[in-house]
Amino acid sequence: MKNARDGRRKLTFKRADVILIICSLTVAAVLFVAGIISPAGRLTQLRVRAYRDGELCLDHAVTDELRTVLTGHEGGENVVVIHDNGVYIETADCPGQDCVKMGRITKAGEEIVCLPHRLVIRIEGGKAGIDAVVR
Amino acid sequence: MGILLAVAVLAGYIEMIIPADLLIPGVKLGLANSVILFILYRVGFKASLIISILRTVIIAFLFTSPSVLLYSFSAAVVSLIVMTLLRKSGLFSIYGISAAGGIVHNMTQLIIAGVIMLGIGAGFERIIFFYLPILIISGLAAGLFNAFIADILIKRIPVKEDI
Ligand SMILES: [Zn+2]
Repeated sequence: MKNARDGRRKLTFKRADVILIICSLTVAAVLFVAGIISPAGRLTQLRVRAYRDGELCLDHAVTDELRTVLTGHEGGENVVVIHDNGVYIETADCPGQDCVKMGRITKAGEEIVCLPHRLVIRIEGGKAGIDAVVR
Repeated sequence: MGILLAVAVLAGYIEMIIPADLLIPGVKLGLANSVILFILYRVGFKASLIISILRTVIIAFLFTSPSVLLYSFSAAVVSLIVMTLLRKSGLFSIYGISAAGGIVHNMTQLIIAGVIMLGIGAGFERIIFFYLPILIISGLAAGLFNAFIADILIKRIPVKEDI
């Protein structure tokens, strides 16, 4: 066995390592850019819609202030706040608190998911708006 | 074996105390994976699989909820299998193997979460164009970091028999 101190920290990357790293970075970058470029839509009449188990349970204009409690799966509660053209979950009693950590969303297509409570809160309406304008 | 398991569980626990996933939910370093990687290199596939399985079960029941087990368990097993196969191929160093393991780990979790998310009305686009790239990058970064730790462990910790 070689003396550990001889092998001072030098990173021993192989060619396949580098290819793997470059490929995954490229895929991630392409997806990310594609997501930004694709017209998820902006514009007029954005709605905040919430779905519980896939069913619509809240439909509200993003421009109207609101603070409400959504009851999710198994009675879990999420306090949803619509404020200053954005939506966020203020508090929730779910484990992990991922939905609270997701923070505020403001653009069409963005969404907040609370998996434990099976809730999806999404800003919608951009595409219809664009179609209306183009016409 | 017991000690290795304890270390693996501890690594997972330490990580739960540190709120590393504050920015993006679900993004974690996976410190325990460096221990698993070390076991894979030093002892072998079977030992790392057993410890990996025991670890996810213990963590799920002690510190989180059993419902998390579906994600952590399948992600751990799938990434371990991928890492083992890549190691057998001989093309990659521990860095490439660990990076691939990290990416596959995250992708497995995303696939399971994605199925549930689509079921409750989440947008497909959001999963593909937002979560997928983030999880690829974080899996890659975590994998490289874990390889770095495992590399140190492998070089510093002497063993009687290399298998
Ligand atoms: Zn939540």
